[in-house]
Amino acid sequence: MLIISELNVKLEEEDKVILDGVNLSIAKGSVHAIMGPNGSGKSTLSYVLAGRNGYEVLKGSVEFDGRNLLELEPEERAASGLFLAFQYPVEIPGVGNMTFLRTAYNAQRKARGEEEISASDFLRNVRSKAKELNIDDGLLKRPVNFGFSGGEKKRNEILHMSVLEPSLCILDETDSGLDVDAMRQVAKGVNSLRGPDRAILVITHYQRLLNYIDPDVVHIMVGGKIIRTGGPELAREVEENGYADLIREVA
Amino acid sequence: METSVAMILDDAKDIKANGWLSSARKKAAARFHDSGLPKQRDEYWKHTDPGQFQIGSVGDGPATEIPAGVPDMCPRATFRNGRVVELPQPGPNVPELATLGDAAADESHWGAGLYGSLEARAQKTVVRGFAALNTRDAEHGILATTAPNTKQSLQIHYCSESNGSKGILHHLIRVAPGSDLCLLEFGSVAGQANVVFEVDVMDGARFSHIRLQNKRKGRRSIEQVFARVGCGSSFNLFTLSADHKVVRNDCVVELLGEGGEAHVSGAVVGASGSHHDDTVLVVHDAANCRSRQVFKKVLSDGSVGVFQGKILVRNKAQKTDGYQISKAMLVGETGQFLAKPELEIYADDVVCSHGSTSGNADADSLFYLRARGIPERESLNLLALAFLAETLEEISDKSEMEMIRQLMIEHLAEQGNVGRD
Repeated sequence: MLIISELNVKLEEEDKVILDGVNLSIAKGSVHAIMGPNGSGKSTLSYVLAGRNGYEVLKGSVEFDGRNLLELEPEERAASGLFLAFQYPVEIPGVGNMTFLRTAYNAQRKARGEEEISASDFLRNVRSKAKELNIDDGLLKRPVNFGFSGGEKKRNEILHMSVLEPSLCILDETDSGLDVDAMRQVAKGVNSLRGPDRAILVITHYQRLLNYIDPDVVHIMVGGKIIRTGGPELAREVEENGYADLIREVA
Repeated sequence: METSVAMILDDAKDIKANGWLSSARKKAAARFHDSGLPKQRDEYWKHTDPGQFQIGSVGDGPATEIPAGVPDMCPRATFRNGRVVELPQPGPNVPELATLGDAAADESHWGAGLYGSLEARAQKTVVRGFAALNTRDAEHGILATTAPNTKQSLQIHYCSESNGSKGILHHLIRVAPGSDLCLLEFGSVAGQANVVFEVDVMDGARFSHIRLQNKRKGRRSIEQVFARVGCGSSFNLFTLSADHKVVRNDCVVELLGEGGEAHVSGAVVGASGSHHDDTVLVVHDAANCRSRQVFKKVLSDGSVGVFQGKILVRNKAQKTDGYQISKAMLVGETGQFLAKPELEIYADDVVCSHGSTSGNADADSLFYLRARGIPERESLNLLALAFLAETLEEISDKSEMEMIRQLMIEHLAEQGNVGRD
């Protein structure tokens, strides 16, 4: 589903290489996790995949469902099934969460040449998803993320993900700033989206989120490279020994 | 339309030669003689060429449409081509109304004490040629007064059928002690318009004035509001401005009684080639008063937004709380925002703050929207709406707030900033 080959990326404005030959393949139905210390390039990878400005791809390729992902605009990537849950969801005062979500949903459908959905059908769909995720109706009426608590923002990201039904979900440090209860709820939401047609990539600094979202594959990223790949036991190893041992091993 | 009219009005052409209106006009003529029309070198006309208000209009058709969302069941005065053609039936919720011509025929009309008086006062701080000219020449306008301790409302609708037309209107509003008046003003007076309001908000009264300056493609207007605010009273003016060639809004509010409040705010959707100037002076001349000026402008390529806002605190106005903010969001590369905030303070125990910013849409926000699948143009529009929405907080009535929000959406969509193709 997603094949990243030899991806080298630098900041557009600076001569600073952030990703230095990333190779990663994610198959349909699988859950991958990328762990790594601060500044290892994990978040940059998620931004480059979602199409954020400010990065220059020096070499390498990203193939998503057979298409060259790097050629597409961010909205085209979204319409083709990629979803990024933000580490810092943006507040948009004056735009209702529900209106925003319907605009996004219909824009994606339109881009795929599908019919737009009626307001009432959409409302029903969102309400039922919100209920599954234990999200209060009030959150739907408020402006997007505006005045939301940290936990509400992250749950709202999961709600957006659940409504937009992407085929590849990337969660960028979704656990940051969450207490244990909020993290458990977010993880529950993510787990409910696991399925044979959907891949999930969890980017995290700590192992603790992986106690609740059980990954199939764990990658360790250091210095813009994936230095180790393994099973869930790799995450536990990091939790016990930190990244230092792994970095030494590679060096 | 006239057939359903409550009252059909005659033109008030014969203003009594020796009546109060005539003498007020003579005084205005003397003021105008001294001031003349402003020149671009004048301090408050550097960013807006005053010559624009004296050339023919470039309007592209009649302006008679009522903006979407304007409530129908409200008492409404209608002007056609710069003349009053219809006044609402009297009623408990309707202020007492007279045309300028009718009021001029009544020597003891309350308007005699107000006409030209606040305009003349405002000339003392800054010379205002267009306003003196208006007081001298206006033949039409309405005079509205509330009854004490009532809650009343009024709409003023301007229809104008000809682009090449000129209109000079002078309105007087008196909000009686303890009463509450909501005024909603919309439409286009003429291809080239000069409008003055003189507003007396008496003690313990509340005045809310909403102006919809839209549906006016290609038109030019200068609109001036002069208000005095009494003890414990509030004055609220909100202007939504879009669809213009050029508009200059001057507002002068004097807080003359303790505990008064003035809120002057506005939102602009500036289409390419349009020019929107808001020039505000709030004078604190009594203790414990509060004022807010909040302006936000979305400016497309080739449009200009101007904000000149001043808070003047006189020496007896201790415990003044003054606030002013103006912000512009530039959509594209060639919009211009010209802001001149001023504070002039003679009292020593006051809190006054001001700020002004301009910039493009926030890149992080834009990426967030696009990453959810919303195309760039549509994303920019949503962000522009979010940007303007802050001004909605200045409107206390929820249904008016929603009406204006919808109009913002409509005008942003017309900008072509929109993905709703």
